[in-house]
Amino acid sequence: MTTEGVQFRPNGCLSAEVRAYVERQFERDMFTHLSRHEWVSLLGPPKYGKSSSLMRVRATLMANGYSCAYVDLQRGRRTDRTYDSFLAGFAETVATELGTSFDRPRKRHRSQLESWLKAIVTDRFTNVAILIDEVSAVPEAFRLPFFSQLTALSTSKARTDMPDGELAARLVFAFAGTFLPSRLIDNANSPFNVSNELKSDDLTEAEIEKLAAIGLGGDAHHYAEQALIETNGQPFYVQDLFAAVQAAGDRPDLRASAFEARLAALRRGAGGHLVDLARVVKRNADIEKLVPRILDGSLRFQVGDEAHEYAIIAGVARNDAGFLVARNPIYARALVQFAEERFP
Amino acid sequence: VDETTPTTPRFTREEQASAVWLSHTVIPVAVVVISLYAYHRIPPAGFLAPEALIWLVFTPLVPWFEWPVASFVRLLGREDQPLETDRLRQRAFPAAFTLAFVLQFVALTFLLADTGGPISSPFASFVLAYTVFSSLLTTKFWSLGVALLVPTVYFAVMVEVYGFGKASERPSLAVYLAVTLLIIWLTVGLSFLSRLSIWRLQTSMDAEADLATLRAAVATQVWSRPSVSIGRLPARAAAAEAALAEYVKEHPSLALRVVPGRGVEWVEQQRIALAQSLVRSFSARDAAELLTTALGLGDVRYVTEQPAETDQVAVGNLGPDPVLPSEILIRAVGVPPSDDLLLNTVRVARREVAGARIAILLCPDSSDWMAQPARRNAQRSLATSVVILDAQELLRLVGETVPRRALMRAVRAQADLSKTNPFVVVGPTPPPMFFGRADEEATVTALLKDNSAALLGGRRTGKTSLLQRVRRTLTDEGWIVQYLDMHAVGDWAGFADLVSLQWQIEVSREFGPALMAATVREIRKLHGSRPLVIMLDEVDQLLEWDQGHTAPMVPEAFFRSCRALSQEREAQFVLAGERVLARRLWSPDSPHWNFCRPVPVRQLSREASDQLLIRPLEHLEVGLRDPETALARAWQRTSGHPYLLQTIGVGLVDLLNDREPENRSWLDADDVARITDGGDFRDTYVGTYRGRSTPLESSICNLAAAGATTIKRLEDQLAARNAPHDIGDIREAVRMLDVFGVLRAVNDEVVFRAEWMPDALRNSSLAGTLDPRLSS
Repeated sequence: MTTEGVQFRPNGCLSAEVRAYVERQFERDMFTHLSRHEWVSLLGPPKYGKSSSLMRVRATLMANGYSCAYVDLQRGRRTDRTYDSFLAGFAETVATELGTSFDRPRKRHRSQLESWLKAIVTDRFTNVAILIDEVSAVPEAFRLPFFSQLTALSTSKARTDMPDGELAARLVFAFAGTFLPSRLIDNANSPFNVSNELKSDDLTEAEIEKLAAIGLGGDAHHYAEQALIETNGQPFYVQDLFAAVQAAGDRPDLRASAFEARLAALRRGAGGHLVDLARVVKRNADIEKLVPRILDGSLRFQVGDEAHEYAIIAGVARNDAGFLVARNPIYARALVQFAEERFP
Repeated sequence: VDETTPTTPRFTREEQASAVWLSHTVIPVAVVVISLYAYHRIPPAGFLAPEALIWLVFTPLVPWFEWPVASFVRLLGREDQPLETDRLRQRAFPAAFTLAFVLQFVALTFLLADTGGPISSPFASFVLAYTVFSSLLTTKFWSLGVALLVPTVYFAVMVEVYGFGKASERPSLAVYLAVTLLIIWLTVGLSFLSRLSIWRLQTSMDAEADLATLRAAVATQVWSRPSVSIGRLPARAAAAEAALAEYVKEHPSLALRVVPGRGVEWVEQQRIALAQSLVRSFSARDAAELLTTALGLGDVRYVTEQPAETDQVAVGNLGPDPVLPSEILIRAVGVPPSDDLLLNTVRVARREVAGARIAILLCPDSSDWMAQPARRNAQRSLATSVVILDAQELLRLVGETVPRRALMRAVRAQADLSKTNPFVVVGPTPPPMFFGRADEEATVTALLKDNSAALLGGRRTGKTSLLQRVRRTLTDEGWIVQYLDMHAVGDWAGFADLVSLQWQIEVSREFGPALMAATVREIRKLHGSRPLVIMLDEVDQLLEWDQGHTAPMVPEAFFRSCRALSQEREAQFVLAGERVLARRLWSPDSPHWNFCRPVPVRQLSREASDQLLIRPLEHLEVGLRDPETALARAWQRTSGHPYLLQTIGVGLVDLLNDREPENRSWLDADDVARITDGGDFRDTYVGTYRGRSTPLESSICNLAAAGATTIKRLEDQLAARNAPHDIGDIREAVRMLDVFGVLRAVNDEVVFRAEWMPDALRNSSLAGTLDPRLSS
């Protein structure tokens, strides 16, 4: 019953080679914006496919002739003591990804992001995409200069006929993470203000159907329906449930019981999502205050309200026809428990 | 092809003249011969003189007269003197025909009187003959009446005057026979001539029936030759010339010109000849070269792909364009399009051109590829839209007066418009999309003659774009212009580091009041003594830092030193900023008070707003149906805010992108409404105008939208909602909202500049409310 050779993978970054994957609208939008030479901010909860999307967009861009650098700011997180050394680390990662070496800028210019990028992105790089994952991992002390310098680089795109706009004409950035842009840096100096904001949403019904069809065989439609009802398209959960069904083999009864068993495990917190959810709620008092109203569906979403917007970005809630509601039934059960102070 | 409608059969004037000339050549000769035979004398002078006069008048009027005259002119070597016989002839015809008609009866009168009168004379039948001839030759309905009436009256009068005549005066029977035969032959001859017109009409009708064929022949020949001569077309010269003229008239975008009397020719004959040869036999090198020439690309460089003879890549500069990239890649290949070829072309384009949103692929024939609509969707998965032109389309493009327009039509039909959308909502506006602001630019450049300027405006109103515009203008005028984007500059050290990086000038990182003067001296060392202007964009952060100096330095020491430099005419400054800059300019204790003259950058004028929407669409070869309604709608929902106009533009092009290629050439007011009626646009509108407003400013806006339209009422309403504020704070908030283009105070009355704001706030249920930040 199972399609041979296609393995569902709920964990980790799904690279371009993984077949059990469906391209999502925000991924297509990200590719379009970057192709237009526009910057992108991809916001969404952890484990919602942001990194996978970045990796896949990276692969597509490279197939289209781009030079790409993927920089995960959380990986090998350094304790940089100065902004210069932070930029040096960032530059080394970019250069490694691009497969090039560079001469460090003169000391005086090492606090300028532009000088590092100029040293790396030489004339032989015509179209470069720098994809920065987990952007909220930029140390707080360096956020203002780093993001401000990125913003200045973005605005220099309007000066492509001037020498100071030449670098920006060849560079494009994508930022991904679970953050509210206005909490990272004030509006005036925010590179997110000059980026197209995209949100990594849940899988749609059609996407779940498509994903099921890739690896589940004849009863794909049945499990797609079940997954939608139970998870509302949470990408990790869907992959996880499909992986359980797939691992159970071809017997329908075994497949059904595997689905139920895994669903129960997810409701208990398997995979770590409920821990993440609890962490978000506990660390953000303004979101914690919203939980009861999210659960009873009485909270009207207000554009510009930071708590409301962060509740969505962090994965606690979704905007359902103008009201904030729990993201999916599993989260809803968990939020009820959190309200009773029963955290994982 | 004005002769397409059938015409009545008739002689042309030239044919009439020929018939008259012929008959009045034959008749006098025959009469002389017959008179000599029958009467042994020549006819009377009264006959010969009028006939001679008719012959002399008509000889120059017949078409074949031109040949001996032209030969004579050639003999004299005066071909440069144009013969205007045709024009003279046309003017002389009416008088000549009238004269001939009258004179023939005069001549006949003398002849009949001399030979036995209207009954007995062997020439009596000429009355009948002239009637018949005149009827045959006539071209006008009324002239038939004349042809009937005149001979009738003439014959009646002659019979009355002369009677039957004497039998003894009658010549032999042979004379009567000869005259009768002459008349028979002449009648048949003239009838033959008159039939000719009917036969010619038949031929003409056949040609008209084949007009479609003629038109097809014209189209075929126009596109297969550098020039088309009249003689090559399957029609009479006049019809062929008219058909060619019609083709030129109906294809005004083609670079064709009419050569009177000869045909038409392409303006760029060599290019057309090359393009036509490419249709027959495709050459990658020639195709690439031809397109670069036709598009007028500058700085063309060729990139070698293998095999070079069937794969030619050229990269050239198109110049500023709202839609097309300034640099474009053209690839010509000798094979038909395929998925792999398109992807490979994208890779080459991205390797060679920064931000290559469009590339052009030339190939021998793309008809099979284009016949598959699914192929067009392939564009959406490519980073660069590859516009495919085959040899036929290349020929058509080369034939255009403005080939770039033909290219744009292909882009519109084939490209993923989301990638070629000329409107910009994130990041700065590129120079080709800059519209309006002529007044602001003129104000700044005029001020700089002896002063400094400060651009004040809300977010996304185009301060940076205006600054760049002024920068280009002043550079062209010979100024030294030093620009610095201060986004990332929060103190002197940051400023010094950026100056070092951008201007290549070394300045100490430790701030001192004299350092700005030192910086100016360094600039002059590098660039000379021309007038200097220093442009500092986004200065608000630096202004905040500058206010915090401690003794021994005075507050705002940095900008005080700038003011001193400005007053000493060492350098002028243009600052751009928002709230902090505005407050410093309004503060009497600030050095900015008399340093920079504020130049507000608010909404665009109505004309510039319209241009911002229309011009990029025109470049994309997209028309706006009922433009007045559509533009009025856009104006009503933006009040000229450039970011909001760009938002509408992006939406319009996205709508086009979802249509089939054949429906992508127009937009209308409903499309504008589709974008501006939704809640998303309303939120964008409110957010754009009030994005950085303080809680008090937002609250004032909300209260004014609910009817608190005076400063006093605003004060009362705030107090009534437990948020009392000093009237001075309220006035400053209103002043700041004026800077942002939201509203303004006129004699203490508050009037919205953003005219849709009250409705937008009411629809968002914000009108009359306090900003939650203020109430908390």
